[in-house]
Amino acid sequence: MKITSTVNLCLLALAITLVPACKRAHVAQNGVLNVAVQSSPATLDPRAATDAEGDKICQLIFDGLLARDDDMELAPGLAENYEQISDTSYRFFLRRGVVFHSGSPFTAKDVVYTYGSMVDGTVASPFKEPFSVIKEVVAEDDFTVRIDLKGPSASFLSMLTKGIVSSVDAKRLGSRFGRQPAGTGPYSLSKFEADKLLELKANGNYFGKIPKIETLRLYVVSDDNIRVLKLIKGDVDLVQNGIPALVLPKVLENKNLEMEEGDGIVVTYLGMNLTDKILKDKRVRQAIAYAIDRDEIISHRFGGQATKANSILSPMNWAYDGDLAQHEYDPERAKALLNEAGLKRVALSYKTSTIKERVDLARMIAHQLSKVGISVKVLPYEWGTFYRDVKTGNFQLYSLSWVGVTEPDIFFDICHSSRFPPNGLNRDRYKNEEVDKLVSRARVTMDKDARKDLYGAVQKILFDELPFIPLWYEKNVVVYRKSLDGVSVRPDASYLTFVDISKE
Amino acid sequence: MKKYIFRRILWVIPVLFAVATIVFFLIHIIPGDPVDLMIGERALPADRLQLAHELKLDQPVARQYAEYLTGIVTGDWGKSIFDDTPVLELIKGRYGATLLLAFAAMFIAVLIAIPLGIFAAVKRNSVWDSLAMLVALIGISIPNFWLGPVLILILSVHFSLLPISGRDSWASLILPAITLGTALAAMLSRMTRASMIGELKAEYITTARAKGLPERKIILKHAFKNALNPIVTIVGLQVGTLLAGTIITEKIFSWPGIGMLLIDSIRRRDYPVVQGCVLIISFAYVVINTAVDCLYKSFDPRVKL
Repeated sequence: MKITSTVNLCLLALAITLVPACKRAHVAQNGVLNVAVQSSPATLDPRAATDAEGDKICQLIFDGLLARDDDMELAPGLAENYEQISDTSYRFFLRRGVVFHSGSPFTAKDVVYTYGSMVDGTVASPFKEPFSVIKEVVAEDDFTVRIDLKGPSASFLSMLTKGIVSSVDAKRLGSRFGRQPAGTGPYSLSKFEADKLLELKANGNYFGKIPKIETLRLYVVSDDNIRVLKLIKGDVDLVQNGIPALVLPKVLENKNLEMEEGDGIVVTYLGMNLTDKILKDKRVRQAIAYAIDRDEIISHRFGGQATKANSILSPMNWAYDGDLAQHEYDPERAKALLNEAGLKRVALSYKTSTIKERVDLARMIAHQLSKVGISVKVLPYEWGTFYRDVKTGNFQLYSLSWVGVTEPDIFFDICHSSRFPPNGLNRDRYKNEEVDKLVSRARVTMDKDARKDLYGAVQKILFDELPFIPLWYEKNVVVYRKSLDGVSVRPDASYLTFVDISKE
Repeated sequence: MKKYIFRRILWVIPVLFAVATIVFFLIHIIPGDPVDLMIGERALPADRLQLAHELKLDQPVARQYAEYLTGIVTGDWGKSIFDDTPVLELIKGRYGATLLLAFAAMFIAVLIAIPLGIFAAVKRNSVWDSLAMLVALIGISIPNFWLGPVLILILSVHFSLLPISGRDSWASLILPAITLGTALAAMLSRMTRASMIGELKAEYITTARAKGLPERKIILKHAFKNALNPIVTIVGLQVGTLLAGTIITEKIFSWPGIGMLLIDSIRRRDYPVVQGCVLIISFAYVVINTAVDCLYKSFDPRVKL
């Protein structure tokens, strides 16, 4: 009797141990999802990755304490929940039973290490400056972390979507961690052949949605035409934002292909040097805005796959000011503004990178501006030179895009007068005391509605003063083979949507 | 001959020294630096200085140059600034692909060009000659960025005979080699024709014919052998160019060669990789040219080396 009871107790204990594991350890459907991507990531260490491809792949491999859901709202990640102790202190309660792809368990030590290594310079991280708001990260126990800040920061929580690395593996591998990353995400990296192929395997023990297809292969195909041909032939199943808009209608004539599209948060803007003697006059900048026929550009260059922008924030962002109008194409008004500014003919230079699409857009804008008397010389430069010139203020006009803007605190970085490069991203050298006050207040205002009002006021001023001209938001377009099911697209074009895809 | 080869090998040293020096200073002169590209615009000035220090980019240029030259001699070509991989390891991984593609393209070019050029020369001023040279003209005129996708469309997408891109099997080599080889073949066939016509007009050919030698023997054994020197020069120069990487073809076919590595490294200002790539490309070029010069002697005993 005693033996039976002991055996029963053991069985019960075993059952209790196994049930959660059985519940979690799903096996993804056998099969391979082949995707063509445009470039090879420079690194897969989330603390260092800055390129768009690297960032998206890192999201598949790593989890942050918090995550962004499909509506771009913050959601639980490795932290199941948190409490705000004060304006400058937060406590996070971590998930238990999470294991890194390498097999080491996830604990509070990994959180302390990840943030610490970015701030103390263990890794050369482009995120050191924003994370320097952290005063201390304390592991209160294995699954509780307290983070104290140097001062109140309204944007702090949104920074916590940055992936948490395995401290054991990151310390062991050093700079090689970027090629052999160990995270907790829905996929683990199994192969990294630079400029050729990245292979990822579904993490069957993932605490969230387990990918439906076991193997994800990301083929690096840098040529636009070849990506299209690979998709048509069936070498790859899916291409996201990698098919030129002008060939898209032709591609979709193929009966094996389908398309999903959605609004995106990538915004292209025209930057202007406000220290330039011509461009420091607000009327000239407004004239430029009215002289650009964005409808024509969106129709001809993007095949309609973009929408006109009036703010750096997309209309999907909670802080976007819905009352903003548009600078609609009005050449007569542009000419009148130039006359008002005492200028009949204006000559400007427009710097851009040598990417063909960028140069074409610059030429199209230059042509439109010439119709109102603004003669523009387009100067394409190799990326390093172009980037250096933008940072040092050696330009009159230039265009670039902001990718993945979800946090309105970006206005502090790009508009505050203390943030001229190299101390920030105020590339246009914009100075406005009112804007300085508003963006400074907004970043320490914890009430979301009050923040929204402050950013609304900022956007209204920027719309009028135009230190830069928001041009358009590019749509996200996924073209895929009909054999796939569950394809969707997120505003941030994240690859996390791949976990829902299944294949016939 | 041995003395000549030895002398040429000795010449490689000052040539590579000059190349190493020029590339070192050029890459340091051009605007933009790796620190900016690595840690972005948001980085604090102090962090930039720290990273520059870690990468030894804050040292005086003369010292960097001295260390760089010492490294070349001792076999330590440095590490990639971006992923810490030793430069020689990176180059080794890519140069094999470039060599393979270069020689395959040249093989295809020679295979097409020599018979075509000889045929055109023998049938000179005939319809066949005009047709052969028209084909050559078309071959020269078609750019790789057009020919590559068209070949893919027909042979890979439509007939599913060959892979579209990548380097997964021997079949992957065929399309990029044809794409590269076509223009070379066109140029080479015109060169072969011109050179052969010159030889076929020579008096020794008339003598050979008068002696009743078979035409095939006259063309291949006498005329072609003597026509080879300019052809070999062009082949040598073209192989040298191919060994520098063929960026457009590599991009179209996702061929992991040294051309793409060099371009990416220039874009990222990855100084050690750029320097390493240029050095190895220059070395290959010099070696090929030396080999070509030595071959002259084999083809024409009158050449004194």
